[in-house]
Amino acid sequence: MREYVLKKIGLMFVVLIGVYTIVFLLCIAAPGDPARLAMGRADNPEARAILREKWGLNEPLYVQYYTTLKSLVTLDFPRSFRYREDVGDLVAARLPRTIFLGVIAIGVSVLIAVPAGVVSAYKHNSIIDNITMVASQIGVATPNFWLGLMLIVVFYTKLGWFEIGAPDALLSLEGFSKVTLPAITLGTGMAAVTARLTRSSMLGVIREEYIMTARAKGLTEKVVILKHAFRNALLPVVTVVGLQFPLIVGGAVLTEVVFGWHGLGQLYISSIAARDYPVIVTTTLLFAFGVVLINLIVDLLYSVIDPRVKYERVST
Amino acid sequence: MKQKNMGWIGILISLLLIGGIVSLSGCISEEKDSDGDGVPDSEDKHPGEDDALYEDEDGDGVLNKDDQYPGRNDTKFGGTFVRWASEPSTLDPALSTDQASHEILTKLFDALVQFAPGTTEIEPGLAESWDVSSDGTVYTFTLREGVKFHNGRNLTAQDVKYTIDRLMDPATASPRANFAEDITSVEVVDEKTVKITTAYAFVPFLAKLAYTCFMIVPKEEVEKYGDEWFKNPVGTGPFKFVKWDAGAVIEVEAFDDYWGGRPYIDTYRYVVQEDDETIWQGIKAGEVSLGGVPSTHWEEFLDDDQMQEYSQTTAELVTYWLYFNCQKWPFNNVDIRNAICYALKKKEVLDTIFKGRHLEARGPIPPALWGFDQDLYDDYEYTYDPQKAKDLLDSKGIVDTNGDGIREYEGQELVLEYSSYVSSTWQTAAETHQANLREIGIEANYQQYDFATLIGNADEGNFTMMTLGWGTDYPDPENFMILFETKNWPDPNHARYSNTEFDTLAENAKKETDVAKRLDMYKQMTAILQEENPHWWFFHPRITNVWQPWIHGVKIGGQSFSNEKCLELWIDPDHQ
Repeated sequence: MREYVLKKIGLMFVVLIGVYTIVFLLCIAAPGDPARLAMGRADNPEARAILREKWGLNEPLYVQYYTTLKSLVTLDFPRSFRYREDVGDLVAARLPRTIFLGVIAIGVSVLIAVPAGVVSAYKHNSIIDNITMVASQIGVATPNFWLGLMLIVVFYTKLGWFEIGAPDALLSLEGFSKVTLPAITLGTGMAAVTARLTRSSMLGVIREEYIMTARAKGLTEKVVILKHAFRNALLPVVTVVGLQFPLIVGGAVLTEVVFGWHGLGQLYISSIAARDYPVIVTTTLLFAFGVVLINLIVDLLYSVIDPRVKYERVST
Repeated sequence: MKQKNMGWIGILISLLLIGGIVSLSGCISEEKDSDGDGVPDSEDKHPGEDDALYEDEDGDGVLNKDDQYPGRNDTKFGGTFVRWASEPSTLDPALSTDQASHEILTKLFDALVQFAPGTTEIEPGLAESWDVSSDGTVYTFTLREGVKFHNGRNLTAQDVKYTIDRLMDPATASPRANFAEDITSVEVVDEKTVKITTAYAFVPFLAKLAYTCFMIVPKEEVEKYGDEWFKNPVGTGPFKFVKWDAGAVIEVEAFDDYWGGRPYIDTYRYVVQEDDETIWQGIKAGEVSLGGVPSTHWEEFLDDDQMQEYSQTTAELVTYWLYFNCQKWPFNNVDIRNAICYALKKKEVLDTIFKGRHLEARGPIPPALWGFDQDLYDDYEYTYDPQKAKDLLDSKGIVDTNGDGIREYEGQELVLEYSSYVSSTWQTAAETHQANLREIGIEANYQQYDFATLIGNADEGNFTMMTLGWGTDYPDPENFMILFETKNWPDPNHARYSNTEFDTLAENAKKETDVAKRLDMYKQMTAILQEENPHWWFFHPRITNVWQPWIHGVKIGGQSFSNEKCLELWIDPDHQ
């Protein structure tokens, strides 16, 4: 087990270095000069040259590569070109908002998807199953920004039930009022995927012989479905939900922009437009780190959910 | 009987007696009103002085003498004014270039001169008066008394010198350092007098001094914060800084000691929101105090009487256009530029895509700006007429020789690149234009770029024709004409236009102090540009802002709402 974890952690670093290199090269290759953007619509070559020097953009590539990497590894973050602020501070200010939105959205998604998937599988080919599957198809096909806007028009503008924008405090009435609509926007899209997966996974398990055995033993349907079938069907669901989390953090861009949520996604997308290299590199690496970390956690969760999965060295 | 009579007399006497006592007691209780202003001395805040001599000029029931803010109606104080708009890049006046920063900086800082609310007229700011030397090169400013920075210190002439020196200092790396390049010296004459000398008489100098980069900053705060100064601004403006949560919200609050009187609103809350559609919903929900009407909701606005009542349409000092790259094939040929001006639909595109909100442009100077000439506008030759476009090209021998439907020029097919920034509006316009060009035998490939790439292409000359716009930094036609001066290649003269006659006129017009002569020069320059069309002039935007019915005192000038100090804004007490 320990060896497995160590190996995984080692691989994590290889992946992160790879991601860093690719992002760094993409920044360098992208057209547009960040210092020119700081000049506004009319250029001032003298001031621009000073900024380029100050930001280290005139250094040879390998120096820039090494300096940025060093600052990331030592957590002594560079300053954002655009905000002239420490990237670590910028990210730290947004990370809680993004995680909060992500957690609530996953919660919404799981609350909708898992029961829907289980019921659909249990009542296979019934009207409930059909309705659930059509609904999830619609959920998958609905673009987030459109759904978000519709939720705003109905529940914010017309009915006034919820607020929008970024809350000052997350764990407050204001925080929950403001997180509801973006969380539903994000959550329903994911719920669609999760519901279909739960359903097919459950269907697979229900047909297993041990379920027939459990029924033959005279166990109630409730026990058969929830204890025997559901727990085993959960494995792929946990994987997908786990993997959805970093996707939310990185993929909530449109939702964050539409709702003015001011999270990492919004920072990320606006930094690309502003060619704010320090923010782009740091945020991308953070996303990558999130993905590999969640992968590791999901791997480890397998052994908790399914006792058959063990990370022992196979002795030869 | 007798007794009865006596009773009547008794009652009468009693009544008289009671009346006498009452009136007597009245005389006793009536207090002295020594100044005769109708207010008894015990209640008179100024006994011995006639209160009528103290006016209540703002009509709030508090006399000027007792009024903390005479001239401001006390009942109007309070409330938060909310804006949702795009993110400012900095709160350092020397580094600001964008409208969003400008909106906040105008509240926090003052310049020596400023624009009167809702106009583009220069009025005294931190300088209460000024003299200009007869040759127009020396400006002597007398500073206003009693101006305080938000840190409590009084403004001095030293601050003016420090601000301008800092702007010019290469270490500041100000993108607008070039605004001060004609200043040769800033001299402190005494505490309240400062003398600015310029290399030559530059007529729009005062208007330029109202620009953000000349807003006065206190040395001790700039030095104290160093690299963090841009997010810890301290100025003399009507509002003082509260917080900036980067990417989320900026808050400023009323400054009690503002020299122009405390603003009515308590807080100006600026929330970062980049999505126009969401901003519109915020306005409709009553959360956003004031904002623009997007073209996508124009009909909705026209159908809403209440919204129209609380709205103002402003012709902004902005022009949108297509740059032709005048140094590159094929636009180094003026006839091809002119033919394209004939060929492109303008009015129809404005009417359909922009719902007829904006004004057709026929030259660089917007109608709302001094220097605009109506006759030149009316007589502009190159309005939409595809036949004239074809005739012009035919007459110059630019024809289709190989029968593929595309004309050739200098042995090459006339296939051009038409680029714009990422925008669905421009895309629709460009699609119409592609069809227009095809009609006269020119093929255009449309490309969208993000702003960073587009502006890079413009600087490097890596474009054939591209869309962009320009708004004045200071309301003077000179600020538009710099785009066509040869010395300003490649930025802001992206078109790389060059005309010696134009250059001479432009140089002379900057220094001409005779208003009539100067006006005539701008007329001549416009005429040259209208004949040679280095740009295809598209439109001057008219921006419609709407506000909530409980917001009062809104003023919006041609330089947009962001330029207003908002001193007169107030909010109904039940919405405060």
